[in-house]
Amino acid sequence: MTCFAVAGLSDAGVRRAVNEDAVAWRVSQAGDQALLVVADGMGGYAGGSVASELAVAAVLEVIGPKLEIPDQDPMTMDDAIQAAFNLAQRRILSRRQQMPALAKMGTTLVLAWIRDDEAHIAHLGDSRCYLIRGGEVQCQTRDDTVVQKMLEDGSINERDVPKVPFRNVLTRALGGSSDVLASMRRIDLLAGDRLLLCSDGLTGALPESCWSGLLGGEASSAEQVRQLVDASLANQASDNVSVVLLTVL
Amino acid sequence: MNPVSAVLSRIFSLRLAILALTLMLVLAGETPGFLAALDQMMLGLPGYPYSSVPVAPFWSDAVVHVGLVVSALYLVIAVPRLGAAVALPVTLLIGCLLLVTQAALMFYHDSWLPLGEVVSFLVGGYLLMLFWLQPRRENLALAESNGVARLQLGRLLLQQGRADEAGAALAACSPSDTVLGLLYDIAIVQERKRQYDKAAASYRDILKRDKGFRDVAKRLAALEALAGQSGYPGVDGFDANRTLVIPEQSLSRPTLGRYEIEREIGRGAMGVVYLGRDPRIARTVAIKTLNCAAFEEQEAGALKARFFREAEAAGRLSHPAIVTVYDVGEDADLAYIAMDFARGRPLSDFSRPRKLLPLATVLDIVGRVAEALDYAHGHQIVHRDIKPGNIIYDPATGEVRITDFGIAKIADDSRTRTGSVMGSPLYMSPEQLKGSKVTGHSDIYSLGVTLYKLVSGETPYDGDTLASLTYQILNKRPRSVREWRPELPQGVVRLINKAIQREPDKRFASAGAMAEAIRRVLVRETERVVS
Repeated sequence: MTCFAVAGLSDAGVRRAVNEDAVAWRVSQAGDQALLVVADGMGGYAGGSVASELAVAAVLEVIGPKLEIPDQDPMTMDDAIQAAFNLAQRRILSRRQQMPALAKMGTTLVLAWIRDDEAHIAHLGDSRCYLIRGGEVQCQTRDDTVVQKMLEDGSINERDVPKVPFRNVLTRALGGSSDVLASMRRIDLLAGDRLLLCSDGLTGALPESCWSGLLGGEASSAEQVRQLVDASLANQASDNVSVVLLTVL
Repeated sequence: MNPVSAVLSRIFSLRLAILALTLMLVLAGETPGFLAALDQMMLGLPGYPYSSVPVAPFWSDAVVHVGLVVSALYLVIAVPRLGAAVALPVTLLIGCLLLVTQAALMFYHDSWLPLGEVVSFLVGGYLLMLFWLQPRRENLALAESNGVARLQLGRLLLQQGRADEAGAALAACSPSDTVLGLLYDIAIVQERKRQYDKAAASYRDILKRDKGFRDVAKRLAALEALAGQSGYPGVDGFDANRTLVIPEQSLSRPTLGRYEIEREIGRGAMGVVYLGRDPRIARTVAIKTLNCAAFEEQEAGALKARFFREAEAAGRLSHPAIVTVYDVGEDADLAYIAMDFARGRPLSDFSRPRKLLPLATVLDIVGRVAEALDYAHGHQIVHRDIKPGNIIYDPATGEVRITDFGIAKIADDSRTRTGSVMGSPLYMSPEQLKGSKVTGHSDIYSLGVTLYKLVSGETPYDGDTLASLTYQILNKRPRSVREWRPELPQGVVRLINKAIQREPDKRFASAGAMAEAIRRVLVRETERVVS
């Protein structure tokens, strides 16, 4: 029987008037399962926030009820996750058709479904999931971005990333691409581990190397999340900043 | 003002008090005794025996009542118009006339008409009205100077282009012809600025004050008809590429800054391009717009600043093969650049396999573009987006012009995430894709790809997604242009291959060197064709 502490926060950042991110989290009544979601919408005007909220709602709708079911087959869990991505895609596409003003909207989506000591992580786009173990921060997702591809094929190195002209372009996203097969992985969690889901507003304003000082210690999950977001705002976060943090007790 | 406060503000007026007093006197019927006595005493002095007081005729009451009412009306209506100074002798004259009439009736007809009451009322009322006239005169003077000031303010604001504030300044003015004329001008300005909602409101305002003022009714009808159409700018305002509605004849042409918009001539990465006219010097201009409504305020500010900076830098260039930038400006949410209108067609019209230009023409064009680039690079200005679409060629005159110096990539860089709207990197140099410093060598690379495209209809790299295209440009060898056009002279192939080297240092040393190389190939080709 595992116990989780979960907290999350989303802030518009210091430059943007609109928050296009959406976050959500749930812990099952028995306390053995948890669901964390972050979506980062795009598409200008109201579009971004509509898309991210549709995506988060679809995830809660599909996976939410399943949190109360004990002893699920890991394969079924993965199927449910993909079903949530598919539902979100359908909802976004149909809303885009209904309203021409939203025709360009889309969203990233990252979620973690934790059952006991196993976490299922799925994502599309460049919102990330990190595992923080000891003082070490490990990214568990691989961004669906042009920049990530360039880094992997060795065209550029980390130093070039902020200057690349297409740095913000996603190769895959809900609403933006026809392929919405989520990238999934499973990891085992140990007591004291933390899972952190975030939008690129956090990583853009606050490098991972600065996190360890803010995470850990005796502060509650809510306080740690608050500290992370505050630190990114202090760094003049230009994008929306969203964080959801789970601590395995 | 609501009805209650309207009534309250009128109730406590002196004029109403006088009317009420009149009514009281009339209804009371009986002449107050002291007045009658005073009256009789006055007239009785000449020695008329008291005992034989003349009899009042039966109609005397009616005459007195009518006299009272007429006096009251005189006091409240005529006196304010005449002014205190003129009203004084007039009032005295009337009083004297009444007294003389009374005396005459008494002496010659032996009948007593109690007009003293009317005379006292008249004189007393006049004195009372004096208290009212003085502040009223001050009020009137104030109101008049206020009206004049508002009119001047309105004119000034309108001259500064602040039409809405000008309209607000005139709102409280009484509707004279001058005021209506100015309101009309304001509405026209709003209409030109495409603020059709506001213009319609201004027209309605004029109509409320004067139904037949000039052609206001017609203009309003035209505006309302426009509002019914789809794409009405007051309604959507969403699409970054939305066009200005060019309204029908009964509306004024829209303007951007001082330029009158004639029609839309194209759509670029940033916004719509219009054909415009500078009415001051009757010059035709192309106006590129950058629509900032699509960006958040801070982003838009930075974007505009960069747009203007680049446009001003380009404005320093003066070369026959570079489109001249005349002016930059801002109007509502549009930033714009007014530039020379280059006649002809973009080279992208000649870059499909079946529509290619003859090789000699292509070499000549590219050679001239290279020369112009050499000139710009000499002024430390890099184009950053050389491609067939940014080179205008006029087949009739053979003229070649490069357009969009420095500005083409601005919107691309800032538009986030939605990859589909961004320009393709087909012509972008590897160093540009990597985010390294962009120099004249990048323009040489892009011009090399342009030459490749113009002779073959294809590009050296081809990818169905941005990611794969980027990968190829950065890592793969280009497809040889001979794959598409095996008969292409070796000299041209060498030109292209040298220009599109991945390493900037391996390309031509300068755009000038490239131009020279092109000229040499061109001469050799012409000689070969001739011999």
